[in-house]
Amino acid sequence: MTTEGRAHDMEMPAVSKPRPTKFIVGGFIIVAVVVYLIVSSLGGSTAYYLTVAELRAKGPAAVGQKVRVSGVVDGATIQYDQQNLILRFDIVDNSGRLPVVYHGPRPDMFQDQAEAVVEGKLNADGVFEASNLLLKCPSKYEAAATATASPR
Amino acid sequence: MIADIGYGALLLAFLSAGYAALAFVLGQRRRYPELIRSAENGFRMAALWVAASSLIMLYLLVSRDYQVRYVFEHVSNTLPLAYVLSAFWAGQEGSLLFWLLLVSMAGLVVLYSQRDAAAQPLRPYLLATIAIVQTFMALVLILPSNPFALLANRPADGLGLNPLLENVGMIFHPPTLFIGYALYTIPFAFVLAGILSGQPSDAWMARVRRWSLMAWLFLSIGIILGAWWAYIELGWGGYWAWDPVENSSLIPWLVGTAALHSAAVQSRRGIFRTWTAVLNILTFGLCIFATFVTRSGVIQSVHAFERSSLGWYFAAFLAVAMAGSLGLLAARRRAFADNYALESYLSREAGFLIGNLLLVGAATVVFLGTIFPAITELFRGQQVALDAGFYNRSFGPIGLAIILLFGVCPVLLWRRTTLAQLARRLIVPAAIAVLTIVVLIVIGRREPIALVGFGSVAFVAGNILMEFGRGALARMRSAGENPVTALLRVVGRDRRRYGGLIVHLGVLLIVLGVVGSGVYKQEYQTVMKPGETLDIAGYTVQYVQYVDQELPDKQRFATILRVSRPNGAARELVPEKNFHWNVEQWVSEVAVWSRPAEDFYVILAGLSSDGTATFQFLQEPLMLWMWIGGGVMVLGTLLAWWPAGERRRRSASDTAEG
Amino acid sequence: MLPIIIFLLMAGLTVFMLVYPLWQGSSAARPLPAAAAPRASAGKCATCGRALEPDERFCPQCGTPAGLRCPQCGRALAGDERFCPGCGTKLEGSR
Repeated sequence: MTTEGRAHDMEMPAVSKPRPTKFIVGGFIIVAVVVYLIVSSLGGSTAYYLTVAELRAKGPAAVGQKVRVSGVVDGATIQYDQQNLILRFDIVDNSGRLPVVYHGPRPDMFQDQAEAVVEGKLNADGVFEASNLLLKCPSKYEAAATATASPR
Repeated sequence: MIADIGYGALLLAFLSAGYAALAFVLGQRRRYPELIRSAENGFRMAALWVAASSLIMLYLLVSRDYQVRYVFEHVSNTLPLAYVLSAFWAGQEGSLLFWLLLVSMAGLVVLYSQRDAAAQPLRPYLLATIAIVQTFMALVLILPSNPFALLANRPADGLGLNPLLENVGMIFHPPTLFIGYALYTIPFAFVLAGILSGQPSDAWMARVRRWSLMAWLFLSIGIILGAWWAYIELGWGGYWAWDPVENSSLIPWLVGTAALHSAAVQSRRGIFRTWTAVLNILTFGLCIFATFVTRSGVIQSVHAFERSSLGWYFAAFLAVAMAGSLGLLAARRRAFADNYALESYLSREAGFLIGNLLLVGAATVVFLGTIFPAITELFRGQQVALDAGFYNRSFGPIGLAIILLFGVCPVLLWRRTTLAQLARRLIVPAAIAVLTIVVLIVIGRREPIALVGFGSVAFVAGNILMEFGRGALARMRSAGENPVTALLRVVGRDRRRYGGLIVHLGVLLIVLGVVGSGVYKQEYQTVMKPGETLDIAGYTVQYVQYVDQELPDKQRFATILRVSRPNGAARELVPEKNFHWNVEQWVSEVAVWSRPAEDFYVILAGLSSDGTATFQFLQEPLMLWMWIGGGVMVLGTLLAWWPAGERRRRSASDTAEG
Repeated sequence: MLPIIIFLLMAGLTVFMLVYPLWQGSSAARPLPAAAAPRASAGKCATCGRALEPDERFCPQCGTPAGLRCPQCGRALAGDERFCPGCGTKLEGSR
């Protein structure tokens, strides 16, 4: 079987029959499969962004539901058990304060005033069990930038 | 003062590029060759001024002129020279200037390479399109994103680089991605020029091929480097987090892959013309989108919607560019109509079509997932985030289908294949796959994902190797050469095809790494004091020494480990936790022992003043193959790109090989 | 002060480069970047014989309207004749 690419087959007789329906059907099947995959994967993967107050307001219904809460780490509340890698801290936003527990190494960017997003579930005892901890560069870095960088 | 000249250069670049775009179009439409020559000069001047402002920026960086805000934000007195230079593309303004520089340079190459008679109808529109893109970028640099903005007074020291970014990968990862994004301007320009000049696309598609391959190559390198950097630097043993910025580079890569394959069919069969044009337009649009997502901070992992006016500029440009080009394509679709349709499901064309649909489907999945929080906020007033599980569940099956298609497509014949022909060619690879699965089950690796994954890899690899074998055999028979020469010659004769097959092999190696580390990763956690030894996961780990060292830029805390294996092989691994003075931030460095079978990955998770350390040990099987696979992909692409030895005169048909 | 001077020099250079081809234009040979189609279709001016572009309405040399005229006798033509009805010259070059 020759595998050399040739110039386009303009020598072939031009057959201008319309695209057979079976290909349209085939195309639709693939599209449908993709749509199905998207929709079916959404379930169980979604996490609402809530503020602390919103989370509290949900009451017992919030327990066990996967959510994300963003806030600022309160340095005074940080407790890190280095041997067992258990990190406890409070995050604070302008609506309230939430105690969080995270099992894993203390992330590098984790410090007082760091902006954090915790993803996980609220426990029955009111502590947020974080399965995921996302951190942004602490605002001290940017504050230093804005303090000295006032454009003329 | 020099910064002001830099800004002036940008202003002139903006005006020159804008003039060039107008003059090219007017000159071509009014048959006014002097205007076209004037436009060419405008094009050259724009490139000149962009180069000048880039050189000025480099000078400002190297001379550490902190009065320039961009220099202040990215350079410090103690920053090594390599990072001072790479600061050029480290921040928003600089990377956009870098992008503009790349487009200008590529534009110059196009200006000088498309001079043959056949290119003449296209050329003014080609250059005009590139000039319009340059005009937009220059406008962004002049207004919202000025790299030469000054501070009120000159600080004594700059902020420097975030230590997390002080890593070789971070020098090369952003620029390779940006080169990829910038180079995709050229195929887009060709498509638009083809539409505007009314030229049938078969005549010029071949010129685009090498540009598309280069752009795709750099995008691939950029993505792989990013994954490697994440693996080494971010220190959680992972390489891909489905983060918006990561995703935004993957989406154009997927669509760009589809565009490459569609163009391959067009060059061989003269069909899929509209597909190819649309895909090239979309790839460019997605590159703009990716630049925008990466550098404007609009879609962020933590706080979304920190709106800067940059977003509006990009959104407007994207909307106009996409609507305009797709609209023009629709208006001139007759020039892109195929001569004839597909004949059979069992044909290589159909295989490519299915592959393209799957690739676009995968891109859609990633795209929707990425903008999902933005959409939900728009419609429900509340952001909803998606986790990695969504992507794994929706992207995974599509990826698997694409991989299997790799295996089937090369043995499909053009136009029509009979089931018997297909079966004959697939029987051996299928047998290899079944054998692999059986072996896996026998040795106890029974996880379904592993069986499917490794089985598919075996099937496709078997197929590809047999393709090489068949080619070499045919040549041995006809030319009487020995196997090695035959193989080299047959590959050299059809570099496109065999280069592509090698790229597919590279992807398979990456899949090995993905499946191996995904399914069989193991994690251990332990506390050790200096001097202690531990046997773990088949390794003997001795905590030799604890280091507490004060350095000019950081306080270095390191744990020296001696790791050995039963067969006598040993390594010194030194995971660290460093406190960087300038940003008052900790940066961890992991230590990895890479072997073909697995990576042994050590994280220093906790440290006390007496040296008692908490370690996490990760066993990541087959990770090394991911990086090897990336290298193979690069080699395959270069082979496919390599120009034909016999340099044909460019005025002759460039639509043939090479 | 100095930056402004430098900028003006840069701007001046730019403007010069843009304007020069326009100013220089008419004396230079014109390789018009037309389509690669062969030029056989160009006609000839009936009055002065100068080769005409397909879209030129008037002969640039003598100003005669580039209508359909027999190059030999100047008689107006319909356009589809093979031979001039006036002088019998064989007509060449189709539009």
